[in-house]
Amino acid sequence: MVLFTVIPVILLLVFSYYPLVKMIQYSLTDWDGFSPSSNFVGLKNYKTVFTNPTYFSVFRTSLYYFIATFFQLGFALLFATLLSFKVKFANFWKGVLFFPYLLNGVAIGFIFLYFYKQQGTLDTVMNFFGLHNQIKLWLGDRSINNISLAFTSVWRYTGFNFLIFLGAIQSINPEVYEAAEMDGANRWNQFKYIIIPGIKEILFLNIILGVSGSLSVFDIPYIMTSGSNGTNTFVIQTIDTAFKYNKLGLASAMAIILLLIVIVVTVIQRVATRERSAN
Amino acid sequence: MKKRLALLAGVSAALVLLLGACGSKDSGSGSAKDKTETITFINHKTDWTTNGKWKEYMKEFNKKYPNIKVKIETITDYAGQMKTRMNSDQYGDLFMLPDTIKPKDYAHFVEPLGKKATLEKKYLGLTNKSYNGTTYGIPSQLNASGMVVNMKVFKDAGIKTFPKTTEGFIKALKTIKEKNPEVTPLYTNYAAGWTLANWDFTRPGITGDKQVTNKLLTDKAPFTKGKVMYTIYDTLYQVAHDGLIESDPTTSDWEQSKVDMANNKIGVMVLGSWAVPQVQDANKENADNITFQTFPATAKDGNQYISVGADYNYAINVHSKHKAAARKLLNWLVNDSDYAKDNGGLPTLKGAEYPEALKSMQESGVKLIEPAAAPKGKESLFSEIDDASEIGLDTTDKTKQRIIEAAVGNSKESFNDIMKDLNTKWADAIKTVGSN
Repeated sequence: MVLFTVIPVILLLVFSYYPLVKMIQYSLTDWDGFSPSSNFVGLKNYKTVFTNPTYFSVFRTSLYYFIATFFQLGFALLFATLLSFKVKFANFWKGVLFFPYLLNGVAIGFIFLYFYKQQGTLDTVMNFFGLHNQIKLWLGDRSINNISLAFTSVWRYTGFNFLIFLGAIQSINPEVYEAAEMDGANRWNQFKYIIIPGIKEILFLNIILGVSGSLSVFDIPYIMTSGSNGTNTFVIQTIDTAFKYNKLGLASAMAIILLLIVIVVTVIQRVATRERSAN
Repeated sequence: MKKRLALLAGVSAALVLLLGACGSKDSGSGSAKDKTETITFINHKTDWTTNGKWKEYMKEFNKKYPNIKVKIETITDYAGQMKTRMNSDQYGDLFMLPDTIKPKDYAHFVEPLGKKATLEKKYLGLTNKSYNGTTYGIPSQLNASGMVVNMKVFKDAGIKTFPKTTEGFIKALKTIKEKNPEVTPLYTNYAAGWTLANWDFTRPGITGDKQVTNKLLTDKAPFTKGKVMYTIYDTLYQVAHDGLIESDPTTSDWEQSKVDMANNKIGVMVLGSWAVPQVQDANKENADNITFQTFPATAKDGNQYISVGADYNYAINVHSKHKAAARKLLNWLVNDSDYAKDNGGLPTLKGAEYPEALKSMQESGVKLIEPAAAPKGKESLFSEIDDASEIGLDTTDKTKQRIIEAAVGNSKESFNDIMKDLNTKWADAIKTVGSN
């Protein structure tokens, strides 16, 4: 049995833990990413990140994605509930909903880039319905571009949340529904008193995943706008610091800080769930 | 238990062998003692792989050196990937030296090519890849930085000659917009990002001052009114502010912009002379109308200048086992091939013929100006200050994008706010770098 775990453990050590150790090491230097020499600077990089507001202000963008998480969970829960009741072509709808999650993030970025482009798909559709005075520069207008991007993210990840919810809902004993039906509970009551309490843990877990996900948004804004025009996120900022301004040490410190934040969020989730299940 | 351990050892051995096999691939070709040598040339000209140009070139090269087989490897995100790759030993035999490598590190990465004083008699543009009198890279070509202009668009709007002042330039763009609203007078290529750095490159041409970049090393407020960086960014701001650029910059498309310009839908793009043949290729019938012009400004001495700088430099990997063969290829590319001409640049070899696009400009009295070398011992200083400031002068897009965003009303910053902030950042960076 040891044998089966050797390969995954080796892969994990080589591609996860070793780079992490190296990154901590880099974060204490002023290395530029290619120079043969670098200097040890102690915690100076961390100090820079915490004292310079420009590095943290980008977390504001994460708020859009965080709020979007709730829409995402709402849609996912809605569809999961609908499909947990008897529906025609249930498997087909499940496939349709889950499909976006299977697509590559780069492909999604490009699909939506052409979708939002001036005179792109969305504008064409809106013209067809006579809504041409509602047309905006979906990615160019700063008042709306983060919402456009967050919507793309919702489109992409709803399927994933949907699948988790569906699994949780289906694990509820069907006899409970039958009993409820006999007692005269309608669909709404079933949802409110059976499904929601039954998947409370999963719901909470998804919210936490949403928080850490919205802190580390990367691929969609990077591909569609490369973080320009107020769509910068912390991860894009880290990449720019490392590879555009050649401050790999500082960027490593930023990455470690993000890692710590995500760990803290996860620990909060763990503690909270444990308390809940203890009750 | 013993059996299991044996199995484990077997698997680990297999893994080691597998990894070993991956690594030994390259050294295998090196130990080949027969007469033909195989060298790898890594570069950024992906378009030449697709259109077969590299194949033609190497056929030509093999006529002279039949015993050197050249493997061409092209990378789309060249500068980005090469930087990472140079942490290993495997970055080809001949390659284009990324600009981010600091002069003081040249000796660590690349083979010295000779004394600068000797090579200078034969070649142009050696200043920025030399360190302590030794040259480490020879430019593949020299580029003029300025504007690619579709003269048909200008003539259709009744403008016969390209303006010589920024005011005249903005007025001309406005006239184009009025006469022909379908046309984008100036296309910024905001989304591509790297294209925006070309605005910065024009500064020696505007001032006619060879020392302009060296002066930035000590100037703690280079973005002040009256100074060249202010003029450049102010022009960019005004053009964007007056709606003379593409209507949705965030989704602009570099490949499409070349086609649009070739088809008279774009008036001006701020780029290098290398872009002229690329735009001309997009519509051969309209090629005569695509010209290259200097930034619309006249220097204090009353002359117009155009800045010329080195493109990517050929360099030889210090870890290469085929340095002699790589040097032969380098020399052939610089001395015998048409590389520079085919790419719309000036040849590195002194006395060689200029490309068409620049010939016409030379006739109209525009003088070429090549920036002076950095002071001795300060070769790396500019990039250090630039990185520390995170302004990305000459390198990246964020500052130029920020100016465009403010100009089109996407952010509430005023132009003066931005310039003030840039001055602060630059001054701080000079201080930080100086204290290290």
